[in-house]
Amino acid sequence: MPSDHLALSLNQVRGAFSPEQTYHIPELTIKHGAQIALLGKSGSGKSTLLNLLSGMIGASDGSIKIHDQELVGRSEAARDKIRREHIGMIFQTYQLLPEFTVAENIQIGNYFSGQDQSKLSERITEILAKVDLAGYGDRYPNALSVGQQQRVAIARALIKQPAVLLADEPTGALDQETGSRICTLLQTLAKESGSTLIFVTHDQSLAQRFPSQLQVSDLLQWNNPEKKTA
Amino acid sequence: MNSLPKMSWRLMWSRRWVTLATLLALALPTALSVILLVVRHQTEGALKKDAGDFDLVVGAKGGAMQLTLSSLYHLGMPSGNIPYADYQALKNDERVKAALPIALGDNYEGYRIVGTDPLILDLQKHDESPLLTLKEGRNFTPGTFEAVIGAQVAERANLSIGSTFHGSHGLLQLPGSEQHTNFTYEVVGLLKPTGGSHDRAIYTALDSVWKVHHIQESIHQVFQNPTPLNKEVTSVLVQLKSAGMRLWMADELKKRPNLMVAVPINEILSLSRIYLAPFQKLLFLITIGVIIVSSLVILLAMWQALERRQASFLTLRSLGASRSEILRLLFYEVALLVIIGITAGALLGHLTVQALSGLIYQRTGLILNAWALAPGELLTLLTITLVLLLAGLTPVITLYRQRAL
Repeated sequence: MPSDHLALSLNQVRGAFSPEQTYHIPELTIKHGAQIALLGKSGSGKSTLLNLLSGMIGASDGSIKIHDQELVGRSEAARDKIRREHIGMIFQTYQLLPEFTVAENIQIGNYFSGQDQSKLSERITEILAKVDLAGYGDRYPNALSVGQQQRVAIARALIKQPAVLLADEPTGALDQETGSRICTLLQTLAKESGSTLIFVTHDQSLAQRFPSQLQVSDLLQWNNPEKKTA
Repeated sequence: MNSLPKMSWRLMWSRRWVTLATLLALALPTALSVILLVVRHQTEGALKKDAGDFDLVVGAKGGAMQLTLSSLYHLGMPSGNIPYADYQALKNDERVKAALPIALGDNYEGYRIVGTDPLILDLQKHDESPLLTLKEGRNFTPGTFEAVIGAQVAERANLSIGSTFHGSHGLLQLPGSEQHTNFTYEVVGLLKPTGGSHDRAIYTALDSVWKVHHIQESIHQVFQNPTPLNKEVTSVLVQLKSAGMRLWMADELKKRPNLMVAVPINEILSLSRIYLAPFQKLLFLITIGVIIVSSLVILLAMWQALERRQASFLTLRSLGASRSEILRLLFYEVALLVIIGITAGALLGHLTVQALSGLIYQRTGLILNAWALAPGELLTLLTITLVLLLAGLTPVITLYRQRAL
């Protein structure tokens, strides 16, 4: 795939949560394979932006394209399909399923992607090794440290080799050293798999590791139009 | 973990004690319904089965139900005796296929000694199958104190071929009742189980009963009335050449001042209407109660599950699961709970009947087929299953429609 191919593009996206609470994203384009740090304080609209990019919520106007697939104006089922096929998500609180083992959590990540299930156990073994959790497949999340849990979450997001990786404050619940290691791991694995990484954080020191940094408040406006490209 | 049913199962099993408690709450009321259905059906069937073997029961004046129960089911007391001549007249009646005399008076360990004709082992039911079949030994000989005993008698009184015993006066086993030690019975035949009243009877020659009571009454007569004794029987069981003649013959015999006639099947149907019909209503109410209780259980279980798993649903959605896939995940969970619970309840019900069948056989001689499906059982279970599925899915569908899933 050409390196200047766009992984994400947003153009004049508008939506509203209520008549008093509307948002506008003038323009944002992200090239395939880019690694972007997205900075924003609480309440700046990070969650709204991530939910729009992942198709969890729909905008009422404009254009949001993920991997050349339009999200705006599409049904919920269509947006779900785009998310499952092209987007991997990682959360601050890991959000592993406690009822399932490490390997099963990753397996579920692959199941909902709709991808080929063949040789899955080999792929899981391989990805666990990449996140330095070889042999941990049969353990349950509550038996892992917070850093280990986040690494499982990364493995789960990456098992389907998504075009776009959305990481919402993945280091927010970790100490500085662990957070730094997680950040490095994410950047390395995203580059290996060719995924575009959007890393949301409030930690300036982590954000500076990324080639591009954007402020959420500059991207998503509550009726203040501007243009941003990364 | 590559299918929704597997995920559902794991989600259920991760809280196994709650799941087991829910399953138990579904299984126990279901088992109760099944037990009542099966026992009712089998009991009614057994009563009707014995009642259909004879077209008429003729005895002394009294109640028709009393006559039927004492003569056919060996329950309760007869109202009196009738002359042997009445039996002979019935036997010779051209409408009668077979007439079986019954003479009661004594018991052995609570089991009635029934004086009758050896013909009893040759009689057939209306479907032409034998009324009684010997498991071992042979029939008793007229004029002797030989006995053919029912299956329950053999088992409970520990009697076998060649065993001897003495009867006690009366139809009930009472402490201190007079034993007829001058008359020794010998077991010559063991009957196969019938599941009915014959299992609880000791059949012997009519003469033996007369001989025992002739001697007794002779002793009384020395001091009272020197009038010669007439032979009597307690009742006569009649098989007609055509069942259509029942009512005609019954009407005719009722005109005789000293006789009472009962059509056994009619008496048992009345018994069903009087006693079993209210039981049927109770059964219906219990089934409704089962459905209500179980519905509440499954509804609560699913509400709790939904509240507990909101974070998990969000995770699944972020992984790409559609809302309909989450709905299916929950549907499988409800379906697994309901189907396993109801199936376990049905099995438990039948197992309980199996466990109780020994006790019931002891007390009544009734053989219960614990694993036979009662009429309406499958429909009842299916109805309960569908209602519970609906109850369990109601919170799920509500949240789905509110877009909270």
